[in-house]
Amino acid sequence: MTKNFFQQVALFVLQLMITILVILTTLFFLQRLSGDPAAVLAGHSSSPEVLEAVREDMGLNEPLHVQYAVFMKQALMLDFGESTRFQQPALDMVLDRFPNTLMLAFGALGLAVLVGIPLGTYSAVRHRQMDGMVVNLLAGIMQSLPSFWLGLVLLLIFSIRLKWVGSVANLEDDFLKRMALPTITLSVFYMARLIRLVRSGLIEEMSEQYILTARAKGLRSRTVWFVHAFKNALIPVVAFITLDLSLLIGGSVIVESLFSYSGVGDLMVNAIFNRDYAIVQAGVFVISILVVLINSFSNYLYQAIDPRVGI
Amino acid sequence: MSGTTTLFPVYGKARSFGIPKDWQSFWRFLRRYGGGVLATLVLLVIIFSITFADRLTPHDPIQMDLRNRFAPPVWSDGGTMSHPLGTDNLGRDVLARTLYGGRVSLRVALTASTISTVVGLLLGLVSGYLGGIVDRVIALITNIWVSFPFLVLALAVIAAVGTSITVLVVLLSLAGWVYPARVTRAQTLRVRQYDYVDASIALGASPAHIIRHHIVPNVASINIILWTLSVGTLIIIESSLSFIGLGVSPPDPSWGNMLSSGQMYLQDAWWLSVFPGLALMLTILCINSLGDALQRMNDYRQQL
Repeated sequence: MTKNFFQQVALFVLQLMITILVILTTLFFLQRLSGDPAAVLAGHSSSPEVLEAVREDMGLNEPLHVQYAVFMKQALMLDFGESTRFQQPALDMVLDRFPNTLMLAFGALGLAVLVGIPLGTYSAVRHRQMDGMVVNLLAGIMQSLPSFWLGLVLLLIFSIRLKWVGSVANLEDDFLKRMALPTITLSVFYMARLIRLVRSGLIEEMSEQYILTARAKGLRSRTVWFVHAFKNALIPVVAFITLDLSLLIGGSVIVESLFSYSGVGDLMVNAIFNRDYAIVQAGVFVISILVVLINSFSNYLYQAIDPRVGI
Repeated sequence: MSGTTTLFPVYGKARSFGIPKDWQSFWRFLRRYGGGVLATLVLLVIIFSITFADRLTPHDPIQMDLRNRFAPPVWSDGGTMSHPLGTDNLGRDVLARTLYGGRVSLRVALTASTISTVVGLLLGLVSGYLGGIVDRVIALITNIWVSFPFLVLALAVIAAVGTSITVLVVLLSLAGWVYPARVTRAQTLRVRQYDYVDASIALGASPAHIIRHHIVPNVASINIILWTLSVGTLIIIESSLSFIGLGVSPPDPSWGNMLSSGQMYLQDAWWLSVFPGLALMLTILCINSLGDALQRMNDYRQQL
């Protein structure tokens, strides 16, 4: 069932194209659901003549399939129109904020991996001792905290009581101060999932026959754990890390909004309140494409490290 | 294929939940799953007080009382027994709002998770039992669906049609059908190969009979676990959306929007945020612990 390189690339491109088509079609019909775009642009109190002129100007009097074709053509040329509020091309505004969102997501992921894998391993090695169980229990609690709730508590402690950082992610603050709370807030849930995944994976591997063989050979316990079991337990973890990057990017919407962190999520939420649909469209488009790319990458990575999985 | 199965939150043998029948094994049961039992009890208390909110507090959750704003909880200076958890920035009773807010949150999450579990179960049964082109199509839809960032898609829908309880329920139902569908499909494929299913077919049983009597009992427990865990997840999503102002909209209370309006008064009137926050955390924690316990009961590998 293995495919050669070109077949894989072709399959990937096909998948990407289908996804883009689905996203754009969804966005088009959602826009039509949102009511009369002309009324939003011209204001609801405009006279019928003005409304009619705006409608004609926006091409809303054309049949639906013509509108659809126009929308798709513009979208494929990366033109989502101008933001009605800021009078700037919507896509540029989104791409402007995009690095900030990526920084937040990757920062949170990095933190989750750096803390989660060692803690998960620790909790697995000592899963019969009290401290190992406590780590597992803490991970269970961390998994039950909604990110905005945790963010509020962190704000209360570090911003209002201790006054170490500002309550919003102020651009004038230095990098670490600005990033610390949003990154921690976003990463806690994934850290907890990682801890539990590493723990259960390791414990499961330790009951396999090859571990018994390794022990029978007289290898040191440390070698058995960290060389034999760890390597195999890590396979689902790697898949998890890449797959959940997409969840992280979705979750960053909430965290960005809470800390007024200037990323794509915050931009989109504000755009919704201002009925600035062009920005929402551009944001959904950019994030969806990123997520599809990440997911494909994660599939290939998974196959690369685990030869048992074919396409 | 142990590598792939661990990707899913739930796996293991289909078994009955094994509630013990005599006192001795009941004690052993309690020692092993004490956390789950405690979580169930707390959950029952929460559900009870939310259901009978109108009996527990005389106050209306929406009725404002502007002369009586920011009354502290009863144990602080100036607190009174008529508002045990104080009042908020518009003089509304915090206890009443927390209880009624829980009603909204739980109702939305329970409805949505039930819909999505049933839909996922049906899709999984159909695609696992029929196979062929139906299976391929459902698998394709599942794959496309799972690769979308749900929250971002929800934003697009809310931007277009606005927000209401119905929109929330529909969106949240769409969020969770993938896991039950995939797990049910895998289990169905496995059970179909068993000899007793072949025997049943040989005796002339219809597909409907086989699905009802042989397959559904085998996928039921795992779907109950998935359903439990999804209630917790959906409460988180609902309260997050309400928190950023795109979920349950004021004046209707929900734990998410209470936290968001309390955010401004965090320093002086902490009780506005702390009580809905505690209720939210406790509920999710209990649901997750219950789900974990059910999962362990059904998975011999993790009983160790």
